[in-house]
Amino acid sequence: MHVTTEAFIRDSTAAVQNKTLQSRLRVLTTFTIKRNAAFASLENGEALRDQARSIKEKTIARLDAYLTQLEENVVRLGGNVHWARTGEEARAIVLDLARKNNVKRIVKGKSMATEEIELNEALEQAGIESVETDLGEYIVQLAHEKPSHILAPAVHKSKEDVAELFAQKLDAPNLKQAEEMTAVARKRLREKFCAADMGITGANFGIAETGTIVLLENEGNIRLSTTLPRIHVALMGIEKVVPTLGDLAVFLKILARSASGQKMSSYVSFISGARRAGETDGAEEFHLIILDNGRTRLLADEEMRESLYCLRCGACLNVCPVYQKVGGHAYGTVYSGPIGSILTPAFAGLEKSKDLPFASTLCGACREICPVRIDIPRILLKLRSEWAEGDRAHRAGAPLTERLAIKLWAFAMRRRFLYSFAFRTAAFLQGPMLEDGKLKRLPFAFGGWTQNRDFPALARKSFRSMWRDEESR
Amino acid sequence: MAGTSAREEILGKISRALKSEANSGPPRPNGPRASSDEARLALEIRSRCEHKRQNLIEQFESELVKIGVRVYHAATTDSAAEYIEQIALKRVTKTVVAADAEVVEGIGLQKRLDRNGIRYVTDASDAEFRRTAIEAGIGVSGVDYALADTGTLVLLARTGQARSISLLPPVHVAIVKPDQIVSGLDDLFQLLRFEKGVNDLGSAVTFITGPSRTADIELTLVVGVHGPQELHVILLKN
Repeated sequence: MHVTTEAFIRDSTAAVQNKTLQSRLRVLTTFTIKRNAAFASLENGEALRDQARSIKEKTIARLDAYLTQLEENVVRLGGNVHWARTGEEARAIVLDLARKNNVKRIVKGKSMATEEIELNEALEQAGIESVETDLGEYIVQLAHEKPSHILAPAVHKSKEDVAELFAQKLDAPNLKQAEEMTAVARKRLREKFCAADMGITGANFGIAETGTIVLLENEGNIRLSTTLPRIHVALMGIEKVVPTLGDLAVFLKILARSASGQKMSSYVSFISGARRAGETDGAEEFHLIILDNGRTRLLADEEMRESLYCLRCGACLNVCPVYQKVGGHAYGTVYSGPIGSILTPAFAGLEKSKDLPFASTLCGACREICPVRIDIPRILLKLRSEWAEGDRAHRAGAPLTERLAIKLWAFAMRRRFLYSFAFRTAAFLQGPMLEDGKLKRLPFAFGGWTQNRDFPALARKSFRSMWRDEESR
Repeated sequence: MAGTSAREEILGKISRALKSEANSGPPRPNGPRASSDEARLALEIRSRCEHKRQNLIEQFESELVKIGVRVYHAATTDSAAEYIEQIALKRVTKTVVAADAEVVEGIGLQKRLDRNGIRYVTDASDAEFRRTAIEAGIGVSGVDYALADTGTLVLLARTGQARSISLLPPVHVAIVKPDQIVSGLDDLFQLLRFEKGVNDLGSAVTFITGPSRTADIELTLVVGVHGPQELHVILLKN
């Protein structure tokens, strides 16, 4: 996965100062308001979330068995199953299928997994046209950008941005309203759908007992991508399998509510194998690619495992005080926001994304809203400590002075007299460094702590001694 | 073959991560259910829904209206056909594609459209059905189930009920019989188990909840982005 997360500090600083972006990001609260209203309409919303989590736990605990059951059933229904260890292998499988079938044009449904493996770039290089057909993704692709939100890829763009883009790239000038722009996109993309040889989608779920891929959407582009082209390829992460139809019901009740505040998304497609004899539409060939790409690493780490429960609803982005200010692009990867700060280090390596676990206030809003209650702050803390400890192969870890100071502090903290002595001394010595009663510039390696905020001055009198005085009065 | 080794390696990694035996056989979390149980459950659901039929219809309609679906109560089959004829005339439609289904044929739509010189096409009557569907102004289908609590139409793909009908034309009219309405997802999946069977759900089961919509430009809701802009539901009398 290609990431520019190394530039997080620079890009997030620029994002905060970008007025257009800031005004776009204000709409995020709308998602949360709608989400809350949608959950309120459920009698047993909280219980459903618990149930969804326990289904994920149960499924992941026997993931190998459920995946082979899914495979067996897809094959039984005339589909083909491929396994890809890495993004590179998955891209090679798609390219191979395209070549074998003389595919020139591809239409794509919105899929985070295909973004993750950068499939479009690979297809383009091979001279195959691959068009994103979700309106938001289409806009982002035309602009040669990356999606900035899991659910709303073009949320960073204003209507005027889109009008300008369509004027430039589609020769459709003077568009004013969202309706007009949507109509232009509909017409252009309808031509693409009709001419496409292959449709590529992700998969929200794979039902093991029926051999079915389940896809949620609002626009109808995924239905078109799976109905018109003669080949359908679905790319699914290993964690997307659910055991039964009954289990799926639980997720269908919470996913659209969590993502967009809808009781049900406009379309849910259950695709089981290829079209049957006598049917006039649907793909003649169906291929399911099951993707690992770092997921088994998450699985092997018991502290990280629950990040595989993620449904990609995007709710945690909308409530995150950091995402709300910096937007998705600053994260430098397709998975942004709180959940992205966990997934990106797993997929791209912590050494490339060390700033992400720190881009959080640990306020817990993400854990609170997550439909499957992933404890994101706990995992972020774990990643921080992993980074601070360092490992000889990749990570330098925290600076030596900082580590030494923390060790000293821990040592003193456990010895009360030493601790209060050190504090009294420090409170006395800080005098010359105070500005307006605050520490504005800490020395040495601690400078980073005061780069963007002031450090409160140590109190002249400690709480303990104030308490003692109070009691003896 | 590289594919085989990738499969073995991924499954191996998973089983090592879980410290379990690979391929420990297909899981049966709830144990296999006897088909007589399935039948009994299906019967229970059908009779429970029958019992609260009127409530389900009202709930279904109120959910449909909330998501922008136009609902028409047809007192007679002929009034259903008339309703579709009116849409076709208003939109100056040249072609209507329809499901080759009893519920659609039964309302006598073809006769009414013929009278106005509007083509009425099913996939049985047209070898180039898909091309026709792309040009058609209206698609008319039945449904297999409907969910009251979300206003959802459930369509099973099969010969005669092409997926394109509810997807390609700018207007989709779905004809729903009252006894097709069930409470929600739990009822539906239980019924599918018995009436369709988990061994083969068919090439596609499609849930349709309202018209095609997007909010990708400044969160402005726009309907009819790739699928139908208008969705009409005709509720027949039992």
